[in-house]
Amino acid sequence: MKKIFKAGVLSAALLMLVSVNQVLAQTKLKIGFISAQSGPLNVLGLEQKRGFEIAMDHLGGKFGQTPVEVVMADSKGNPSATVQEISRLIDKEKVDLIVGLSASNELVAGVKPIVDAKIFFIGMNGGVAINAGEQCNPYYFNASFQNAQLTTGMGAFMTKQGVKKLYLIGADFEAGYEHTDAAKTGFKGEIVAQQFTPLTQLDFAADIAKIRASGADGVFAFYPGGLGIAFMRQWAQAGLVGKIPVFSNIALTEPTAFQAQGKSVLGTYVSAVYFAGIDNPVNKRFVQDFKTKFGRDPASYAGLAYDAMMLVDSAVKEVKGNVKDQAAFRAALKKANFQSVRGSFAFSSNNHPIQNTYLTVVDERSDGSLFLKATAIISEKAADNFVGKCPLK
Amino acid sequence: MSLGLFIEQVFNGLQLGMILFLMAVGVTLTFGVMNLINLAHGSMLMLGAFLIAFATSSVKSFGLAILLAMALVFALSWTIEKVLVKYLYSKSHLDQVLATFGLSLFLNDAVIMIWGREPLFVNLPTWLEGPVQFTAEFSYPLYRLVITAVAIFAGIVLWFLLTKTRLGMQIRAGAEKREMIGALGVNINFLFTAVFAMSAILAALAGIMLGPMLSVQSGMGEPLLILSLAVVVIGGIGSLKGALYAAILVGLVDTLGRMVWPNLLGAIVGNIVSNAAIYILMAFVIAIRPAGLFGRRMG
Repeated sequence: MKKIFKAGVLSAALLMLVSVNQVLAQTKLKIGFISAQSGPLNVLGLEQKRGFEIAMDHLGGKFGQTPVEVVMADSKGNPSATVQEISRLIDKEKVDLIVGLSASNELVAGVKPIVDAKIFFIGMNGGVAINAGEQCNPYYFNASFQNAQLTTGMGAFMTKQGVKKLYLIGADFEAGYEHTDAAKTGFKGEIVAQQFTPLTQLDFAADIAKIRASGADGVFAFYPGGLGIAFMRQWAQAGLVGKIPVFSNIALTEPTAFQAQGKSVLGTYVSAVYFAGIDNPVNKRFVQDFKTKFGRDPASYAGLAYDAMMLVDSAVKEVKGNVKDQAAFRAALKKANFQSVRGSFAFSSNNHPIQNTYLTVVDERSDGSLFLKATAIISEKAADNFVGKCPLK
Repeated sequence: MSLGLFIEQVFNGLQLGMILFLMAVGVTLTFGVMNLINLAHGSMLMLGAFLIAFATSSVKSFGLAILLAMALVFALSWTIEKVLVKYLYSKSHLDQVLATFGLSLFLNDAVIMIWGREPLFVNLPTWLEGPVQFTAEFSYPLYRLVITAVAIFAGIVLWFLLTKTRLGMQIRAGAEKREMIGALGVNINFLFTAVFAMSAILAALAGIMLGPMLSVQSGMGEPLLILSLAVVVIGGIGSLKGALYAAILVGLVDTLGRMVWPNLLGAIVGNIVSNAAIYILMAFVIAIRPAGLFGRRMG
């Protein structure tokens, strides 16, 4: 008897939940936020989440008049967890759109199931070449950058800095291949090696010994998040700071890593599409509120996540919350009618950004804290290298 | 390949090997003495790293911080044995694997609840930073030398404890013939708790020393646990001598392999082979000697 009663109460409760959900579905917009919040790249995913939180604070939890319900998912920096979480978001949670993803290997695995389900996906971190080129898709927008777009230009800069023998090293996944390849373009010396280490490897003793023995006079290292912290600490412990210059993009050294890397990264040149010092009112407000809440400058992952949410907000507002009208929603996204923390922002035909890339250097404030100082603009309002291969118009 | 680079990589291999040895001792002892498969062993390394991060932020002296961290790990592992692990000795290996895997998930999430998901950092005292210059061309990070020295010292202490003390004699006897030691009236409950706590402390020592080099985060012990399981399988499950030789072998094969294979086989294939080298070695050893290099014949 008791069992039957329990079952009855449970099913009644479940039915109520279902019906409540149906009522809500008509008024609310349900979005899935997925990022690598654990695993080797969790520094990225957690910083994206912080940027996302500030954006939702600024938007008051609404896109225009449309209340937003957020479902969180952890992609763990690994493709199989990504696919699992995405199918949970789509099949079980029935979200209206998905934003986020941190690592390039997650994008390689995760974009296809989303766009196949005809759900819009707005990427918040480096897009992979294939998704910007041949396999670009009308349901996939990337509001951050294309991997090569971030790094192209460093090759020429390294030559200008007098590097003759370059050692390329990076983590063994798509972003590692794309960034080190992009660093080669424009470099006019000898490439000593292009080497990759597993994503889970945090001890670089053997690799640092190889770099020193190779006679390289410059290193391009692509190590995001915790990997970059471990690499630069061990680089300093090996006494190589000031002997062989390390170049990279913003993935290696950022406000998320400054405290741990300390003075070992002072004077390191990295390329960036976003850094806290970009001078415009929208960014000033974002940086101020981020600092108040989290006590330091935002890293690029936070700024780019913030922008992605502002983009979604602008598009949902334009279609008055009706994202089911996919053609109208797509056109609204494509307009990119929002104030970016990066200043100028537009989409090219492959739904990847047209934007500035900057050369920045790690500098020290009078209180000893580190920050990224822009020294030059590498390219102005430029699209990525793969837009020509994308069949979208 | 120059001689300097070769020597440096041998140093690196030895250092990795000694860290693996500290981990593998615990795995092989708990299996040999208590017949327990402990998948939560990686969490002990993680706890060591987190507790040194905590201790260095609350006490000034680095040495004192190490002692504090080890004392905390000792107390924690003692409690864990008393509350949970002691009920697992009589269970099947599958139950042990499930329970200790669950324990590792619990501990991984517990450190997230206490310290958050962001990696923590352990700052070294300045006198441990930087390289030691041996010759004009050959220098080596001082801290890595210290790690190797400490691990060797811990190994010697362990050897002394196991061969020269009464407790050590009982532990070795337990590893040889579990039933006999109970029949001889040794306090087996105390012995088991002591072995578990000792294993945990050795793993934590590895974590304490790795803390300043790596980023300290939840789940950081698992990759090393997997490697140390490979070490134990290669050396022979339950064998201490096997753990030592296999750990150094694995350390050298991994480190030197990463230099040799890409030179021999080209960058792409060489990379793949060097990442898989340890497991190829393990498969090879199992094929020739199923009980491991120093293992007793099963059955």
